[in-house]
Amino acid sequence: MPEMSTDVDGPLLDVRNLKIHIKSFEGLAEIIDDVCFNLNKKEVIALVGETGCGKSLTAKAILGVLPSNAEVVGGEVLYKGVDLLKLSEHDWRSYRGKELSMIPQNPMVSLNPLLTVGEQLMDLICLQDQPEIALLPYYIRRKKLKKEKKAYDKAIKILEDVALKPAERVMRSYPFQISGGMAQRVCIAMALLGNPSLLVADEPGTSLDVTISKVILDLLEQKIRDLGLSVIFITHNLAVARRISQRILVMYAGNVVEVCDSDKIFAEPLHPYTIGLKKAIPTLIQKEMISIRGRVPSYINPPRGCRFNTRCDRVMDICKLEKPKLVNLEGNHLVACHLYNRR
Amino acid sequence: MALKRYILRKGLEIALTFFSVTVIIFFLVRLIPGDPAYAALGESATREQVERFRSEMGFDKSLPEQYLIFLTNIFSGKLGLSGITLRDAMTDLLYYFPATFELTIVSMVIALSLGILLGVTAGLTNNEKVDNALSFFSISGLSSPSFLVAILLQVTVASQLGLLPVTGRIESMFVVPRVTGLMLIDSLLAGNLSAFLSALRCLILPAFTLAFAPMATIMRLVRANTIKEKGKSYVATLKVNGLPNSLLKWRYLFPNVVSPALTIAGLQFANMLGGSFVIETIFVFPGNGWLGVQAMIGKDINLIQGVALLASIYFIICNFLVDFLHTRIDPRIRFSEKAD
Amino acid sequence: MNTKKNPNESLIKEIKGSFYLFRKNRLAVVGLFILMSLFFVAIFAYQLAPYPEDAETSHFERRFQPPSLEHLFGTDEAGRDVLSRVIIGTRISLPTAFVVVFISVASGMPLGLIAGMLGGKIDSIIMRIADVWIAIPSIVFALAVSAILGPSLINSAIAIAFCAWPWHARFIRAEVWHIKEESYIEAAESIGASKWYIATREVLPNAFIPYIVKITTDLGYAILLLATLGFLGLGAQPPTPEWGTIAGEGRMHLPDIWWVSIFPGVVIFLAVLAFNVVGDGLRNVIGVEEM
Repeated sequence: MPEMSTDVDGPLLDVRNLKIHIKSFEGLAEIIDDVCFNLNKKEVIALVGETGCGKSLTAKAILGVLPSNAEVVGGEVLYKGVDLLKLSEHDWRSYRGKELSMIPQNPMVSLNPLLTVGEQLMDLICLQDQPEIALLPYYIRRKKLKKEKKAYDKAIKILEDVALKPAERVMRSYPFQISGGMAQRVCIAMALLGNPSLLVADEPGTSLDVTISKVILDLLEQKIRDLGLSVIFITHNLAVARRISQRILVMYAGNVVEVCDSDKIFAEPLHPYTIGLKKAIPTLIQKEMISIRGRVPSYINPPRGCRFNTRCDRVMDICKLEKPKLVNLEGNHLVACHLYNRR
Repeated sequence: MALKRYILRKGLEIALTFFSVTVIIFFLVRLIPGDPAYAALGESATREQVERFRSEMGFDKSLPEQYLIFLTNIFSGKLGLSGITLRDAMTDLLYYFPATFELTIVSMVIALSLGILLGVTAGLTNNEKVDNALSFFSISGLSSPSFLVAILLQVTVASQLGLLPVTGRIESMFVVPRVTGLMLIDSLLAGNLSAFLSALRCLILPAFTLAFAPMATIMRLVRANTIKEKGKSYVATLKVNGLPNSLLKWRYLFPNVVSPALTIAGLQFANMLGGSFVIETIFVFPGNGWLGVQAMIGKDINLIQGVALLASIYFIICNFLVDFLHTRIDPRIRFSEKAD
Repeated sequence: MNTKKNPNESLIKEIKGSFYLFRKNRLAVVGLFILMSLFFVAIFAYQLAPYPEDAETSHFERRFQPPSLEHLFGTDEAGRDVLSRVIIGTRISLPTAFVVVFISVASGMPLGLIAGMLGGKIDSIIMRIADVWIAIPSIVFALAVSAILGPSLINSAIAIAFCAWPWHARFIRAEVWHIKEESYIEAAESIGASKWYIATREVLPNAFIPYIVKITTDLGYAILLLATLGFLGLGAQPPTPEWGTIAGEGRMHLPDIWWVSIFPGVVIFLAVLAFNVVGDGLRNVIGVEEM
């Protein structure tokens, strides 16, 4: 396993110039275009953007589960100094679940429908830190492993940790027999059981009822605090982002367009897209829902220059020619927009 | 217990289907235009012959009466005299059934195992060329007329290369006392290993030919399922959270892929029964399919009825077994039984 | 940037996109080419066949000649040129397949439509009958019917067609169910549109598109079944040069005289493959899931 750096000051995760293309029927989609950001220890950042902007794809690249038609054409993803993009499947064994883990978007389809919750949890508990195991040895050693690791008790405990009671009943249930909220808690438990340092939460709660998702978010917040996790929180909801994170990264069409401290994002949004997002949130005072005109551009022939230029109401000539760089204005507020670039 | 209710319910369904099938087959023979008497005896039959045939077959009675006679006969094990073998059709059917049973079971095993294996391979591979080759193979497989594959194999492998016997269930030098009628079992029971091997060699070409098209269909479905499943959320989630890849593939992905393929397996069985007519004829493998063709050519009404009936029953039962297996694998189906 | 769009532009773009998708699937294009060639051959069969009279006449002095330059597919037991017979056979196998599928569609689709639109008891009855019908394997059914009616091309065609109706009924019913779930049906109903109107104007057109894929594959399967029956001697009778029948005639003389059975078999394979591959290509274009 590659040596991880013990540099306490540097960021936990450093994504540099990530470029990802996807091969599709119609051609090559240049989705992720030069994405850069970092995540510090015990920090929660929110990755905000509309559907299709590439936030899930970025997360998948970080976690090493890109689909087979995706190609990383450039960039690095440095986790504790190690480039995750260059890891072999064998090397990944030591990271999965123990250093990095993930909470999925739709918990009902994120569990194997043919096995009980208990079986899946115990499989993870027993085998997370084992090297690859073939099927036959697994069945032979299964009983022994479960006993060794006291898997059943541990599974009960982690279920109770996410406020799932009675834990025994959940263990015996199949995924289709538990509710969405319960399934989401199971997924949270699964993500946390290996004591990871980095957690990626992919829009948790979007597939749930509003009341339930609030409870889930509360639980998540508490866990993050208690365990001191570093989290990439993906969402399309700016309000949720502000509540749960310390920094917000706004993504549009495969680019990071603005990075800002969460409490400042509503006060002083800079990028026209962020401003549009904020305007689109209905408030008690605002009478109408103002949406951003236009649609996300095609990734196969992306527009030249700034990818937002077709929808921006403050577009200038230079926006159609040159891509704006992500520039650090005061107080760690970064924007990629020609309006602020003229220095 | 849910299991008992399931068996009860399914038993009822099977019985209902069986009776409906008897109705259809019964009416098939009697209501289709064209006189079965002339069909069986030929155009130049004399009046007395036709009348005698009619009364023997019971065609002179009213329809509901005939059906009742038909049904009671079936349950007492009689199907009527076969014009060809001059025995009761039931005897013939039962005599030739084991051969077809042996052939179709072995064929099904081949079709399922190869179909699933190749389908999963095609679905999981990242190599586009491999995937294209396998896909082409599967679509060719289900487009091939069974007689073509049979003849090609027979001519090349058996005749030209002499690797395998051309026809028959067992090579003529062996005589195996008939216990179950299944050549493989009987030769083992007789302790005759070389006979067993001979029976096996005779079984290979017919079984493989019969399995070819169903295997291709299963392969296509499994491949499509695999591609669909591997993109599903639970695969990525469990992988990221640390489940070993091999376990993910075989204990998690695989059963989800195979489960819907099982429904197709039942249907493929119907195709196999149909295909057995051709295969058994070409490879001179005396089973119900071969018997059926003889019956068709000889226009033996009772035998035709019998073959159709037996094929349907066989299919119904196999379908039920596959359905049962499906409920064992997929808990969602098992539990939805309760809801009824 | 020009924000005005010609309304026809998007339609043209869609058609172009479909063609592009179809073209990318090179196999489908090859299949289409094979089909068009077959149609061409069927139309000009008598002009294209080297020995057009061989559909009927025999030349016993020329029997059993292996494939050569004069007889590309060899000659059969009556000395007839196999290639010519296969070419003329195109005029038999292809149209009959279309007739078979037409009958299946005509019998199965209305029943499926009725079952789907009306639901309830009628639906259960029709589906029950369909389920039972399926329990009898199609070849068994077709064989039995042709044996009783007397073996001939027409009889085997009718037999095959009538055992395919449950599949068509099921398919259409499933499509109707899917479409019924859509809200535009509710909308139509709420403004008082009659069931008949909804069926013909809303449901059918939408159900028809995946149905075309099924019909294409069914055509291939019909050819296969017809040929199998012909091969067994229960379909088209000699001397009708149906592909399966020709192959069946050659069966007695295997394995030495292989060309009489194998060449028609290969042609059948190519035809069925073409239909299947074109069906696949259409499926990719339309974006339907495999059934």
